[in-house]
Amino acid sequence: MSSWGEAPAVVAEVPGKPSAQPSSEDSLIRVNVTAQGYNYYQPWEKGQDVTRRGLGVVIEGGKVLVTAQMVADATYVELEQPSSGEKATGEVIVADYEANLALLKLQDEGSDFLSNRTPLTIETGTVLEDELDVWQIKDNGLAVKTSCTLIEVEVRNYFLEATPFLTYQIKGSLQYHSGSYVLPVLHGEKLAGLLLGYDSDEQTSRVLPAPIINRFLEDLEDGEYAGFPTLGLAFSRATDDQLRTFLRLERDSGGVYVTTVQPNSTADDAGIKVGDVLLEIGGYAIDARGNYDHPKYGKLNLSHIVRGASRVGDEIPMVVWREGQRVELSATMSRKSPKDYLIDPYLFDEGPRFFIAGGMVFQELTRPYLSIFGDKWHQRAPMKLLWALAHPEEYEKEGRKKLVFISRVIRTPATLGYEAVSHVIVDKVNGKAINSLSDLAAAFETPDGSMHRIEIGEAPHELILDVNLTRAMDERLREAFRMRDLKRLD
Amino acid sequence: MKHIDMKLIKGGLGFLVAMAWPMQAQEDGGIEGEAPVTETAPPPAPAPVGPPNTSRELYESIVEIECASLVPDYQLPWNGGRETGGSGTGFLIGPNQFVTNAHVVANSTRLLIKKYGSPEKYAAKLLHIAHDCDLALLECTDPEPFANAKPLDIGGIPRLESTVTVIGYPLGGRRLSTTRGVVSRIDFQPYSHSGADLHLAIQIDAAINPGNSGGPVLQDGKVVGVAFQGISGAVAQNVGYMIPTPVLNRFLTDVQDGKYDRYVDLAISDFDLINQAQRLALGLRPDSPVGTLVASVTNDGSCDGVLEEGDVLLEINGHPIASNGYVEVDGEFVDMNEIVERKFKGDKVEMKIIRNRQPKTVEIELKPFDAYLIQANTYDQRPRYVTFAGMSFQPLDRNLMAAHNIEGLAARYLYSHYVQDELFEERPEIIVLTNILPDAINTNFGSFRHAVVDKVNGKAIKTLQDLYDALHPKERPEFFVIEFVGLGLPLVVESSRVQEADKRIQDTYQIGLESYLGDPEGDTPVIFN
Repeated sequence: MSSWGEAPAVVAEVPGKPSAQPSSEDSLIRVNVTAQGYNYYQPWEKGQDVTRRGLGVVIEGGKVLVTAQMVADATYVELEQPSSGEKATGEVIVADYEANLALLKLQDEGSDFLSNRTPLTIETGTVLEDELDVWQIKDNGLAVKTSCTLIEVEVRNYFLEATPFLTYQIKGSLQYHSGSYVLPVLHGEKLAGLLLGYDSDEQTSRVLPAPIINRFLEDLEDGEYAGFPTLGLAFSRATDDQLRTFLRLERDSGGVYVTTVQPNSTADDAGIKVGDVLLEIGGYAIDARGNYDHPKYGKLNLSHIVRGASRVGDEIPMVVWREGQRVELSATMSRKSPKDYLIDPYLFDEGPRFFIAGGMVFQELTRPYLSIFGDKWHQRAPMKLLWALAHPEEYEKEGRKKLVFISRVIRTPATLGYEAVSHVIVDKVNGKAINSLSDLAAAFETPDGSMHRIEIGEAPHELILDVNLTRAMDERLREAFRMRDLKRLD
Repeated sequence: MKHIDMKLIKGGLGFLVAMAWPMQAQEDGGIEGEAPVTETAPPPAPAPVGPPNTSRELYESIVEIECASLVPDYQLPWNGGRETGGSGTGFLIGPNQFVTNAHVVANSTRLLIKKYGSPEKYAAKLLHIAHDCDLALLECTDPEPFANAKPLDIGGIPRLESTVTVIGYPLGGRRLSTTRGVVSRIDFQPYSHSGADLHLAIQIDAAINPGNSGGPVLQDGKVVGVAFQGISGAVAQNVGYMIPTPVLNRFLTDVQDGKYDRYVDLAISDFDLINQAQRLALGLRPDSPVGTLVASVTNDGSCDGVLEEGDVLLEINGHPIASNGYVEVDGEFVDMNEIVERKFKGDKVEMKIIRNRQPKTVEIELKPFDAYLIQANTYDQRPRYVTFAGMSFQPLDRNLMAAHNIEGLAARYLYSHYVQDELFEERPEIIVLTNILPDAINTNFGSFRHAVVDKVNGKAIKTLQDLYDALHPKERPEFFVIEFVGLGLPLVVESSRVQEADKRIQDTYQIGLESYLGDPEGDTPVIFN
C-alpha cells in the first residue's frame, strides 16, 4: 500500500510553522477502525485483523468524512475526541470504494458527542499554486498544521486499479505522527481534500480533492447514493500520422481511438462503436492523447468529464469521427456497479461467495481472488482465469453472470483422486448450466442418482462425487475447519 | 512434475578453458557445490573399474567429441548467431558409428573426434540427430583411425541397486574418467534438451558432470545407458540420469531407413481413476486397481476417431493398465506410454477399453504428434522471421519465449494452451511482433510490441508465410492495416513509405536478409569440414 498509514516513512523535519492553538482543529475527530478482510484461499475464514487510525472531518449534520480505504472491511469503527480521548462508536453510512470516500455517523444518533465540533465547509475553488494546510494531531492532542503548495492536478487511480479520479498533488515536507492513515487538507478554514499518501523522497502528497468530495456529498443529499457514472469504453491514443491518414483525420484535430465498448454501458447506449474516434465530450475537445483543457487545471484525462464532473442521469453530448465524418451523439450517464461485472473488480465488507461439496471448494472469480497470487498476479495467476478477466465477453455471451470455478480441493475420501484439480471453470453440475454460485448450490440439490456430476472446462471434463460420502464429508469438514457454514451465497 | 531444475551436462569449451582447468581438485567441491566422487583412470595403467572388459580395448571405443556450434539469435534473427562450442563423450556402436547426445552436437558447425590416448583430432560428420530423445549418430570422415576399435555391445535395463560404471571425458582434467554408481530409479523423466519430452530414464548415484554427456554407462562390459543429464542446485546430490537402452535401440532402429522419424505419440491425456464414485459412474468395479480414464483426445493425433473422451483404458497390447496409467514391462512398473515409446510410425497397438459401460477392443495406428513441438527447444534450424517497416515478426515457440521474455497476455495464453485447447487447428503458427527497430515510420508502434498478429488487410494470418504474402501483395494497397489479437487498435502503415523506410532500416541495423521463411527441405547446417 502506497498510502501513508500503517507503516509510514518518518519525516525528519517540520518545515511548516506548527501553531499550538489553530481553530480548525475543532472540526477534526480521530477515527479508529479495526478491519478484517477475508481469506480467499480458505474463503470460510477471515484473515488477520488490522487497526487503522486517522483524522476524520466533521461536516454538516453530525457526519464524519474519511476515505473509504480507511473503513474497508471494517469490523469496528470508533470516533475519538482528540484532546480528551473520549470515545464513541461510529457507523458507516456509505462507502464508495472507487471514489475512495466514506461518510460516518455516530451509532447513537441522539448523542451529543460531536456537539463540540464545528462542521467544515468544502472549498472547491482551489487552484494551482494555492497554499494548503495538512492537519495532524499529535498523541498529546495538540494539532500540527503543515503548509504545502498545490503543484499539479491530474487524473489517477486512488487505491483501486483502472478507476482514475481527479487528484491534487501538493508539495511540502510532512512529519510523521501516529494515526495518519487519512489526514484533512484545508484551504484556509475550508476543506480542500483528504490526504491519500505521502512520498518522502519527493516530498509530495496525493490529495483526494474537494470537487470529488462535493460530488459525493451532493449525491447523498436525497438519501440514496447513486455513485459516479462509468463510460464503459477503452481507448488508445491516435497520435500516429499513418493511422490518422488512414482514418482521414486532420493531423491536429485530436481524438482518441475507441478500442472496446462494454455492452449496455453509457458508451454502448450512446451508440459509440469500436473504431470510432472520440473527438469531443461535454463540449470539450479531446486531444490525441485523451486529454482535454480544463478551464482551471489545464490538461486532464477525459475520464474526469465522466467520472468526476458528471452525475448518473446527466445527458452529455459527444462527437465521434466515423468513416470520415463527424457524428454527434448524446450519452445518458449510467453506472456499472461492481456486482454487474462477470468478475467483480473489487469486494469489500463481504466475503467471497463459496460453496463446498465433499471438499471441493467452488467460488465465483473476483479480481481480489487473483491477487492472492502476489504482486505479480498479472503474470502468475492461472492463465485461463487471467484470460477470462481480459475477455469476459466470451463467457457473458454464454449467459454467465459470474464465473464459477473450483478454487481448490480439500483432501477427503470423497475427493480422492482429485487432489490436483484447481482453478478449473465449472460449466455444469448435474446437467444444469452454472451461471452463478446460486445456480451451483441449486444444482447440488438434484443429484443424478447417487452421484453429483461436475462438468469442467478442461480435461478430464467430468468429476464425480458420491452423494452420501459428500454429505458425510461436509459434516466432517464443518467440524474440522470450524466452518460456520459450508457456503456463502450472498 | 517438473519442479526440479534439470541441467544439461555439457562441457562447454569456454567452460573447460575458463573454469575447469583452474579448478584444481574436484574434491574441493566441483561445480555448483556438488562433490562428485570421481575416480580418474590414468593411462597407461588404468585401474580396473569393473568386472570384465574394462580395459584399454574398451577405452579405445570411447571417444571425446569436440563440437563448434552456431547458436541462433532469436532476438535479432537476421544475425548468423553466436559461435560457441563444447565437448562431450561418444562411443562406438558399429563400424565407424559413434553414439553421443544430441545436445553435445546440436547446432554444430564443426565436429572433431578424439581418440583415447592420442592427441589427434579427426573430423567427423553428423549422420542422424534426434532432439526429442537427445541422441545422435556420428561417423569419422576417415574410417581408418578406428578400423581396429571394437564396437560396444548394448545390454538391457540394469536392475535397481546394481552397480554401473560411467566412462567419459568430464571436466576436471583432460583424460578419460570413470565413476561408479548404483541404479537408483527407473521412471519417465523430462528430457531437458527438448524441454517438452518425457521418456524412460534411469537415475544413478554416480556423478555425471559436464563433458560426461554422451558417454556409455556400462555393466558387465555392456552398454546399459548413455549418460545425459543431472540436477543442478543445492537440493539434490549425487543424481545423474542416463538414457536407457530401449530408447537407444529405438533411435538406432528408427534411423535404419536413412532418416529419423521422431517418436510416435498417442496424443491423449489420461486421468488417474482413483475416485470410487468416478469408477462406479464409468461402470468399473470400485475396488479393482485397473483402468485409467481418457481425459482428452487431441484432434489429428493417433487416437483421433478411435478413442473418445470418457473411455476407460484397460489393457494395451496385453498389458493391464493400472488406475494410475502404469503397466508392467520387463518386471518394472512404468507409464503405459512406454509400450508406445518402443513403437514406430505406422505400428499399431491394441487396446481394450470400456466405452459407455461396454467393453470394446480398438486398434490404434501410431504416428508422431507435431503440435507439441511449439513447446520444445529447436536446434539446427535458423530462426524464421519477416521484417517490415522496422518491425520483426516471428512464429511463437519455446526458443522465442526464452529470447524475448514475452509478457503480453495473448501470446502467453496462446502458447500455454496451444496443445491443450487445440489452438493449432485455427492458428498453425502464432505470429508475434517481437521487435521494433526505431525509425520514423514506426515511432508510435511501441504499444504493439509482443502482440499476436490476427489479420492483415482483413486476411487471417495463420502462418509466417501468410504474413509474408499479405505484406507483399501483387498490387500494393494504399495502407497495410495489421490487426492484433485482443487489441482494438489497428497498426497502420502507409505503403508509399515502406520501401524507403525498409532500405534505411536495413542499412542502419545491418539486416542482410529481410525475411527468412525457412527451407521446406530442412535447413542445411553450415559445416566447416
